Amino acid sequence: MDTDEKLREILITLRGTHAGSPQHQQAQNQLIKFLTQFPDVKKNPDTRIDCEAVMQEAYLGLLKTIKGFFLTIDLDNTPAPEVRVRLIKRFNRIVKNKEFDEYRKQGKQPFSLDNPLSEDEGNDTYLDFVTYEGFIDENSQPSNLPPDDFVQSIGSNLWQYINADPEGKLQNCYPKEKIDKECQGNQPENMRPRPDVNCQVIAQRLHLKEPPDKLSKIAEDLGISDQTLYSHWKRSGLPLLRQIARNFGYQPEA
Amino acid sequence: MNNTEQYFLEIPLNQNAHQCALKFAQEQATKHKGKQVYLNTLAVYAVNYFLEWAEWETNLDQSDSWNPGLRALFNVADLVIPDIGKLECRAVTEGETVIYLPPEVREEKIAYIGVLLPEKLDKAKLLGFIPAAEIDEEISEITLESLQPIEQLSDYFFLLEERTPFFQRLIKEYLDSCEEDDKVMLKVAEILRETPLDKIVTKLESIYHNVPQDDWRIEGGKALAKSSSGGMTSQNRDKVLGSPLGGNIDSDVEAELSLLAEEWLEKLADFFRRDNG
Repeated sequence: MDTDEKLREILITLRGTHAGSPQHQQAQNQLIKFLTQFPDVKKNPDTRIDCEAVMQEAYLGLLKTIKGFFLTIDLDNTPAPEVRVRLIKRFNRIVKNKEFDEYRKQGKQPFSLDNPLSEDEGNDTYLDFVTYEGFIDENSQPSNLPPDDFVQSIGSNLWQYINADPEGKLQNCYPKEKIDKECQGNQPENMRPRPDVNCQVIAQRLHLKEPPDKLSKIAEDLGISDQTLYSHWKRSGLPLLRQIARNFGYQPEA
Repeated sequence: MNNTEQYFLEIPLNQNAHQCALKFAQEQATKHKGKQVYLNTLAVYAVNYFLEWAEWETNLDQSDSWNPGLRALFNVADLVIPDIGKLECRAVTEGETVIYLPPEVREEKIAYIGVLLPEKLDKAKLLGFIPAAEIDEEISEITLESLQPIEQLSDYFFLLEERTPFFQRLIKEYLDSCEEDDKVMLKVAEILRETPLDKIVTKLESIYHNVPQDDWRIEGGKALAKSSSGGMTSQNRDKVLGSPLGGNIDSDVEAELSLLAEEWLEKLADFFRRDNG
């Protein structure tokens, strides 16, 4: 029997035996022994934390939550190598979580601010590259951003498209409202279209205006019920706008 | 959060992060929008950095925040975690006490993460997260105090990972039990097939957490019906529910959805009890 099959057998035993029983404990020990020999199991080389303690915590964590793992996998019918891969993936996530816990308990950060950017970027620290100080300040503008009147970008193209609505998709998407609001149901004879509350108008006020209007304010201004506008926007307007924007993202820029 | 929990994970924002944020910002129509995109990109970058370190796969290319058109129009900072769902990574600047959730980000999310971006933008601090199921969908702000520690995020993901097959099984059981001549069941089955699984899970969990058990049937039914309409085009919706825009869902279908939702919520309660026990 190969290693993967043996691992699956151990897991099946674990699943089928009562916690605390000798068979269950034996299977637990076997599982840990197996895990220690798999090369894919992550071990942290950071000397600032006690990595052995982290691994012990992780083993315990895995055993404690193994029932959850069984919910995510069909042990009997999944190929043994896949069972191994998924178990190790879960275990590595637990290891990382325990590592993080260890850093947190010691008040340390896993990622140093003085670390090199990456192996192929030499020994410069990322601090050398931060040139956006003050970016958050509303009054300061980052010098590398182009001026408003110069921008010919996907953003401005998309905004222009919405303002122009060349295909009429947005203007032709509008709600119907009840004429007699007391009347139950949505009989066609009691419904009237509201083309003035079309998706172009709403999109402009919700997404192009700074600051954006709220839907309730738009409803009030246009004399339509909040609920009618909200339902229409959620069901038809927003999906249409998302579709337009998504497709726009894949077009070559003008 | 009390004083003993005031540890926040810090993520270095290196040159790559800033280059990416700048590139995205330069695509925008106005400087105001550019700044918004810049900060959103850094927030997503920081969460992605942490999750990759924590051995969770992410998919930036499937995220709205990485789609040039969607980020140019919407205030999005999402990150897709394959097989689990979408996170929303909201940037918070110094002095802010709440996370603002624009309407366009309040759907189909598994959790919201608060990411503090100090003025110098040399690092990001992960302030915590809140599962989407624990807040009302209409809510527009989350207080920072209500966030759960970021170290619990992996456990939450494990739970979601375990719950997905749980709901898949429930749905499959229902679909298998459908009889060919039962129009109501067939309609319900079609709704279930058309609705993204993570939407069903999130909606029902939200009810589990926020609604008294006595109201599970009615609220659960409404949620399943809403999930389907929100996730479909109007044409699909008309085809499935047989009613025009905003029309009433067939009352028999609604009743069936309500009973189903109640049954599933009771099973979900058992699932949680077993998990905690």
